Amino acid sequence: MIDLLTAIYWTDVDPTQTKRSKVILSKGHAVPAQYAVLHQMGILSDDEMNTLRRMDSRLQGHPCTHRLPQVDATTGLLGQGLSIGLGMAIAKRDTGDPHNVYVICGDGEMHEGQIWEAAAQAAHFALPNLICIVDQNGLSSSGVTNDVMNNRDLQAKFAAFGWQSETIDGHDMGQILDALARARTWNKGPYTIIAHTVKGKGVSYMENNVAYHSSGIAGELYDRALADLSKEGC
Amino acid sequence: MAYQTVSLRDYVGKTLNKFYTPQIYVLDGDLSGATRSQHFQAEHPDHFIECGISETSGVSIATGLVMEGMIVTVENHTVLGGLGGAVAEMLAAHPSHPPLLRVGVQDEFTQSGPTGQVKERYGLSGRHVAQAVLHS
Repeated sequence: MIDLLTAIYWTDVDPTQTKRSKVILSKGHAVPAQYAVLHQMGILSDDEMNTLRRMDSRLQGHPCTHRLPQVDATTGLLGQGLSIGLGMAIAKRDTGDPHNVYVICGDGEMHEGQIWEAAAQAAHFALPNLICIVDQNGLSSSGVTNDVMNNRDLQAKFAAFGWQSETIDGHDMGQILDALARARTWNKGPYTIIAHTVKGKGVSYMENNVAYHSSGIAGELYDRALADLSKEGC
Repeated sequence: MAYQTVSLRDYVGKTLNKFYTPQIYVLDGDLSGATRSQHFQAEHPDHFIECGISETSGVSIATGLVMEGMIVTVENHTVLGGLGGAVAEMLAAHPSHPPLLRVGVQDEFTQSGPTGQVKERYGLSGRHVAQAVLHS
C-alpha cells in the first residue's frame, strides 16, 4: 500500500492544489498509509500524526474528507470508491480538467457487487482518466481472501469488463512507476493495475499475518517493527 | 381551487430541462422511459448518464460528480427508508428546517394493476399530490 501511494502521490498528485489529480482510498481502513504519505509531503505535522484515531482529530480511522480535504472521498463502506471515482472522472472529462482519478481498492473489496457495477459503467463510458489499483494482499479481516470468497483471476475479470488490465509486484517501485505511466497514457478507456502485495511488508512478524489486519502494536513489538523497517532494502 | 391534471412523470421530466445548467446531471437506471427523464436525455444527452440496472453504483457516481462541483438530484419512490428517509433525517436535524412534505409510496410492497388504480391506491395521482400540497 505505502509503495503504491508513494508512487501515485509523488508523480501525479499535488495535495496543496484544489484542481488536481484525486486519490480515493476505497479500502478506507488503510488510511494511516495515506496519512503517512501526506506527512512526508508536508501536509500533516508530526504533532497531528499523533492524533490518529482520537476524538475530534482530522485523522479519523477511515478517510473523512470534510475533516481533512486532502483525502478526496469519505470511505469505509467498501465497494463505493470506484463509483465515486467514476463520477469524478466524468466531471473532469466534461469540464476539461486534465487530471486523473486514482481509486485504490482491496482484493477483499472485490467481493462487493457495486465494484462490478462500476466496472461495467466505467468501461461503457470509456473513461481514460480513471485508474483503479487493486491492492491484492490476499488477506481480509477473517482470513485468506480467496477462502472467504474466491476472486479468481481479477486481471481477467477486469479485462472481460472492458478495462485495460495488468498485474505487477506492488512492492517493486520500478514496476509500479512503469505501470502508472502506461495507465496514464492509455487513452481508450479505464485502466486497472492488480498489485500483488504482502500485508505487513517489511515487519518480520507481521508479513502475511492476518492477526495484524487491524491491530496496533506497542512496547517490544513496536521496537522490533522499527528495527525491521530500518533494515536496508525495506 | 381549480387545477389542471397533468402527467406527473412528464412534468418532472420536462421540468428538469427548465433547470438545466452545465453543472446539472441526470442519472437514470434503465428507466428513462418510465421516469420520463428521457425528456432531459433528448435535450441534454451529454449530461444524461445511463447507469444501467446498477442504481447503487449510480448513487455513488452522483457523489463523485457532486465532489467535483456538479449538481445532482436523486429520486426514488418510497416514503420510508431509502433516499427520501435520508433527506428527511438531514432536514429534521437542521435548526430552521424547511417544510417537508413526504408524498410517495408508504413502507409496503405495492400491488400490480392498471396505472390509474395503482396511483389511486397509493396516493400518487395528480389529485392526491395537489391535495397534499394545498393542505400542507
